[in-house]
Amino acid sequence: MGAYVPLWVKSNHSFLEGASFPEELVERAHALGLPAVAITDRDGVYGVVRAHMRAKELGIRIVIGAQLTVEIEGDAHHLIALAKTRRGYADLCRALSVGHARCEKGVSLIHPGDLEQVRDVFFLCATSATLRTLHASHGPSSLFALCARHLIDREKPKERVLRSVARELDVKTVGANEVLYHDKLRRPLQDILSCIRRGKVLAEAGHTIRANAEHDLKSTGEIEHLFADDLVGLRRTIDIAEQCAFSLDDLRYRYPEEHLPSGRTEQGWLRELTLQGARTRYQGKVPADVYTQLERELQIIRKLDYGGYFLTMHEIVQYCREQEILCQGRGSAANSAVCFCLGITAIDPVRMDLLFERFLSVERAEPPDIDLDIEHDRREEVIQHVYEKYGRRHAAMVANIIRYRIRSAVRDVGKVLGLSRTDLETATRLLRHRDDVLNPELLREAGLEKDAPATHHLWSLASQITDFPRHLSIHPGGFLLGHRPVDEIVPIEPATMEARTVIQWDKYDVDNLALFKVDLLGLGALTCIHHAFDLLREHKGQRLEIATVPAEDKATYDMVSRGDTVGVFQIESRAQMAMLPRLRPRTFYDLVIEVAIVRPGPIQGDMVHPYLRRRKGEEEILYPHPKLERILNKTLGVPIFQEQVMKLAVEAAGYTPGEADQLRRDMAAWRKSGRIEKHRTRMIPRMLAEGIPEEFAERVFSQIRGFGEYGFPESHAASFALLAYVTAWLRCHHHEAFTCAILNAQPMGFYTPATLVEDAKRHGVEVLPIDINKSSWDCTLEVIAGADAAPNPCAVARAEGEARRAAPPSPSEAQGAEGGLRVGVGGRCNQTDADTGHGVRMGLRYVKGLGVVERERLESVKPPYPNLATFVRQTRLNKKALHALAEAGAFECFGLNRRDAIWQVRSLSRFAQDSLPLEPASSQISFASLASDDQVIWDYRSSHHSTRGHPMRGLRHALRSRGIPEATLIRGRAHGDELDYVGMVICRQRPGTASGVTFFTLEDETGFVNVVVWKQVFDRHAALAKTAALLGVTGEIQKADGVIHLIAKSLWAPDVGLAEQTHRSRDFH
Amino acid sequence: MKRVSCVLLPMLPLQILLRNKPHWTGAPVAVVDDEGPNGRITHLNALAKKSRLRIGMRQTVARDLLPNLHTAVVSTEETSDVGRELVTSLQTFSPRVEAIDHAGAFHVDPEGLRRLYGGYCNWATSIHRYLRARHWHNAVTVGFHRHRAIAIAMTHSGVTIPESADEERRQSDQTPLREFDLPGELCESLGALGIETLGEFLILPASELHSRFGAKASALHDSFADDMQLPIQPHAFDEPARISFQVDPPDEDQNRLLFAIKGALHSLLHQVRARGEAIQSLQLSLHLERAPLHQEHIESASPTLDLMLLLELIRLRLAGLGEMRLQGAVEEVELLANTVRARAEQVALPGHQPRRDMSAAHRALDRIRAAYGEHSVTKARMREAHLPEACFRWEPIQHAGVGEQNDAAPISSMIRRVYARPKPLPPRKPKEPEAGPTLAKDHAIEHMYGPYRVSGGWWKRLVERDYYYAETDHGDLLWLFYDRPRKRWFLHGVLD
Repeated sequence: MGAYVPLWVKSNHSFLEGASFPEELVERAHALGLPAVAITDRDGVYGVVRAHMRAKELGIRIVIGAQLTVEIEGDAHHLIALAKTRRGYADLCRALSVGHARCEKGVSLIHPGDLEQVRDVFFLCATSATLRTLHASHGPSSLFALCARHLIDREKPKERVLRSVARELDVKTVGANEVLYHDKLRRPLQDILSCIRRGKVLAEAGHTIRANAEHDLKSTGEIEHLFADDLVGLRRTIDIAEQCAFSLDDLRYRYPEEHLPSGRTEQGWLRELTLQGARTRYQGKVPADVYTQLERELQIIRKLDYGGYFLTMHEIVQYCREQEILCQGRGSAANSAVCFCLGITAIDPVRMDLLFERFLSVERAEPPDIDLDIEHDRREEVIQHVYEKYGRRHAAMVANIIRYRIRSAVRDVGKVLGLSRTDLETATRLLRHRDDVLNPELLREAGLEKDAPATHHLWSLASQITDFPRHLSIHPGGFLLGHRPVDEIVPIEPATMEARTVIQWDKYDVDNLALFKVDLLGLGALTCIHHAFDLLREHKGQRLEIATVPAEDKATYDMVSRGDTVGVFQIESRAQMAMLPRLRPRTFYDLVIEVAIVRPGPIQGDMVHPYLRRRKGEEEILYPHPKLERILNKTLGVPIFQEQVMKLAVEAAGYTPGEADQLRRDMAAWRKSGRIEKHRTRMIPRMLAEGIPEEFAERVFSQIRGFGEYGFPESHAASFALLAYVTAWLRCHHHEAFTCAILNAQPMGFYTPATLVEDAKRHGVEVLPIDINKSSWDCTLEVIAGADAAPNPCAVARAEGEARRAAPPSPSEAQGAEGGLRVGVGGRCNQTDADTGHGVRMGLRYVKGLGVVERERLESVKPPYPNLATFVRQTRLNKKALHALAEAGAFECFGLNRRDAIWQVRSLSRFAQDSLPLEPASSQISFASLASDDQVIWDYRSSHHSTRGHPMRGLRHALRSRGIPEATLIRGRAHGDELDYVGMVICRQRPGTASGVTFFTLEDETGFVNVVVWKQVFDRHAALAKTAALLGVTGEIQKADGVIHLIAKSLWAPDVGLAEQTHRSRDFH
Repeated sequence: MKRVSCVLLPMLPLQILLRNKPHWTGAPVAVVDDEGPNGRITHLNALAKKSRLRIGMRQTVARDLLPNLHTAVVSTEETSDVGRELVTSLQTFSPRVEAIDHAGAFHVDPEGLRRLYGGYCNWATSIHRYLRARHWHNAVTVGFHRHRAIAIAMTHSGVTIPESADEERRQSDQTPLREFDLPGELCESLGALGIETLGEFLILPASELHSRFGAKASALHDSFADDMQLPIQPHAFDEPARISFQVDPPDEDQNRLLFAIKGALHSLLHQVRARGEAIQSLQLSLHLERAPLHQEHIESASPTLDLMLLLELIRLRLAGLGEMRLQGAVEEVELLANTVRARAEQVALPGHQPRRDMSAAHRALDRIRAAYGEHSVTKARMREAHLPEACFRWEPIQHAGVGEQNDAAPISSMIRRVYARPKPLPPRKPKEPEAGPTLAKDHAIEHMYGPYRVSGGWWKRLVERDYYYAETDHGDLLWLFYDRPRKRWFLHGVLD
């Protein structure tokens, strides 16, 4: 039995102060044989969950508390508060919330008045001022005078004074040191953290760093030696710890009760809403199997008492509906028929044969996890609605703890060590494309002296600090809601973002304590779809919803199968485009597989090629074991989805459902090395014992590891596939509305607005330039004068498609619609729906340099404007904005070329604030109009796109004379042909799974060319490859399954004039 | 028509950088305005440009593109210093040299020197060669218009001598506007109108420029107007004030020498006063008979024109030589004054006279310094540190100041006198346990108080000391520490 309990212990969740993880402190205390250890992070309970989880594993007790910063007579004092009971913990959390609320982010200052109502808490006071102040409000029974001994000369006189005041007030003393690290070896790291926090260099740190290394977690012998003259005070720590009986397991979390209609119970109301929703979903004829499933789910929900959570999600979805905000549940929620009937998700899990237990199970009894995607530009409305409905004390966002990665570690540690900023910058740059491990060789490459002590310290300390918390940020959309105020469970802090509050725990902590979380996430595709539906209603009188978009449309699948998917959600990337002609989706379920298969999990697990071969009938569909057939038959014997991997673990490796669930959690825990690896030794031997071939077992395991990074569950893939289908359908049948919508939903997706505009033009959509008298802020649809009907995009697509080899029917196509998803109740695409002469008018939002203020001014006046002077006077835009509009050609409607307009606005802008319509007398010089090619370049410079032409068009003559073909001609070249090509770089991508290969997408006025650049070639032309807007490639054609790549042998800068500012690529590394 | 010439050293900061770091020649090099990652590139060499780096790019981006890029900051002070040196050098070719507001550009008046050099071409070539021999890349233009000559030098290397003013106009009109150090935004705005060269710019109506493009554009336009040309504003020769006199016969009597120095000093002060300056310090050089030159540097607390003060400081310094007296009779005395611009002293308002006469304090300190050397007056500067010896640093001071009184600091009744270097205490004999410190003979420790542990400096040299207060049998209070890495006791101070 240990002879003391450390009561003043700060983990590294006391940001930039503590130098050990909570788990390390707990492990050390356990190793020292201490009965308990307190975790008292600075101004919060940031690290207690991690400590609690580890302590439970080791069987050691945690005393939960915090180091408070209290303001007494203008001075800040530290005070340790330890929760005795659940009530004490709630009071402590509330006091901390109050302290944080009155300060800026990351700081807390508690006033003595805030502590007056705090009960069931022990206060350990290190100063006589705090002792006297708290004695007045709490009396001596909850107070202790905290005597700390770190062998510093200043401490002794202070302790004498403190003891004398304690005697005077009849307060007992307690001996406890401030613990900042579990081992003395962490002292240098603690010094570094202190310097980072204060922005100091180590050599000039002075009193920023502690005087010695006495802030470790000491053994009983060491601490008894220090407190040899007051062992009673030391033993008192044990009494205190015993009285602090509160544990995080005592948190009885209740989900907020919704306002129920009179006479209804929570469960009854949920059942009513569900069945009502089911009748709507199935047009009054709920199939028997659906009804059975709903009953089963409702029973489980009742048993687990989660009804309130579903009602809340339903309420949020209803709010979105009322406000006409598109939303859709995804993730494992899509496995639930109740969620489908409540309108939370759009996938019918019964028809999809999805596993409900992946979402909720009695055995697991953990809270359901529903992620709700919301239109990204309206998400804040929903967030503020949640705050308003539940109140600030009952709703707060989950934190995201920003941790040190190796690059930030090198930068911060190096700065403190006083190393050259230039060298550090070079080192961090070199680290970008490498693993998260700092090797000393890299530091030498960066110019740091290999054997210098500073380099050694940098390497050692930067490695140690990796994964340390740096500061608290905000989770993208996670909310913690509570029936009782959330600030009784965990303190709430103000976030940097206005009108947001955040709890002190991240999503892992929330999961570990099995608290309910609601994820409200922003999704650009929903914004795009909403805009497109609005445009169709407004301009064509066609009313659509996601559920009523015609299902299983052949023209849409034809377009998708060609890889013609620029702008289509989830399947627009280069890799997806390359996969589509191979997989040739013909049904919705094919799209689900398409979405899931181009992921690191299946790629690393080498599952892609077997699936494609089997789909084409080139390989026999075999199952490694008969009992796996049921699990794998949907995907032709190849595991592609997360659920399949889980089921495999159960069926093939004898995992219990609990173990399978742990496997899922370990897969989800991002980059936690070791957590997945431990399953290898458990899983592979068991699979071998079941008679499964070793090669298959290894492949399944490597896929599991891949899923650890990015793997999709089937339900999630299905949710995304639905949006992919809807956006594809819109693009196929209403390309102009789709283009207009996606341009208004930017930023989103994979491609720049310029590429989207060019793609639309190539598909026959007329895109009209920015015009101050015709353009709104957003892009709009405009009837094209003299054009009865624009070319039908579907028709264009079909024409292109017919020129190709007809796709063989896929297995799923052969199965027909029965094997697919019930997406909605609409019919098939009606070709007569095709467009009737609308073009896209580019909006003023695309003029570079216009912002919120300019938007307000422009929208305050209604066009048309008779002349430029009137426009300037009425809108009162500043010179910069006027220049931007002139440069973008927005004033051509006044008969001014761009240069003349620039010359005029530079003068007129001085008179913008004049109320009288007086035009200044000035000489008008006439400047030469821009050449056609220059206009395109100006368009790109001023609005990142051009409706007038493609920048490559001007170069075509020169390129053609050198025998350099355009993209469309490359398609006709044979496999193995060697050629030169020149195009604009619109995307560079180096996936982690591609062994250093960089994929370039080059564009010209006729289309795209995919270029594969091997690492050696990239390195040889690094500067050019990284920066060129216009790139020349010499390479060899590689053709397979209708997919064409140009394998680069060398890169070069074309010697044709083209302004570099025309275009910016989107680079993904 | 009178000629005017321009000497231009293009990208002077880059040239300075490459002179400082010659081993960087042949590698991509950039001058940046800040050492940090966000520092922007201001100048680039050809190799860096070839690698697609651009002026204005952030250092972090540039290094990403070109990891082996060499970068450094060249301070404006450094550029100014080089500029001053170049003015002095160019003054050997013409007495009328003007450094203009464009780094590395100078106007040099060629008039009157043509015959000496045999024509403008020879003269200009001499300058070009002179600079090139000193590894300065340069261009020399002998034209007719100050600014047009610069414009030509910006685009022409070597020597350029336009035949006529029209020829000069034609050539200079081709100069790109970006060469004129105009703000980037202005260049972009003009570029948007298709105005890329000086000629295109000068066509624009001057009266419309200021309102549309601001003062810089207007000033540039005006500077090229024929009727706005100012004559060269030559840089004054920067000769220090000096005076010397022979002592005949050579003499070593200090009184007589001082008397002679007084007369010379009077003349020197007259000379300095006439330049509107005051003496900051004096360099006294005594040429000795059959002995090496003897020099003394004498500095006053503030710039002065006070003859008696300076004379007194010289007297004290000579008297302070003491035993190190002059090694021979003085043959010649030379006084060299380091001067600064004189500043009129304000008359203090009545009733606001400080109670302490700080000027008297300054005089006193001057005299101490004069008598005991430049670093004889110091003060302790307190620093934040854990190690006792690191808590303060002695710093020489020039000016006396009223000490800050810290009323809050408690005054201890005991004074701890710290040794400049801790004194090692006798080591224990081998195998004897390290129980405690050993003092000198017939002294023993009766009580120890401590330890107070100070450790740190791990990033340089680990220090780990356990400090104690020790009371000896003689009643002395000692301040000791045990050096843990060295396993040895030291005496660091005493208390009284």
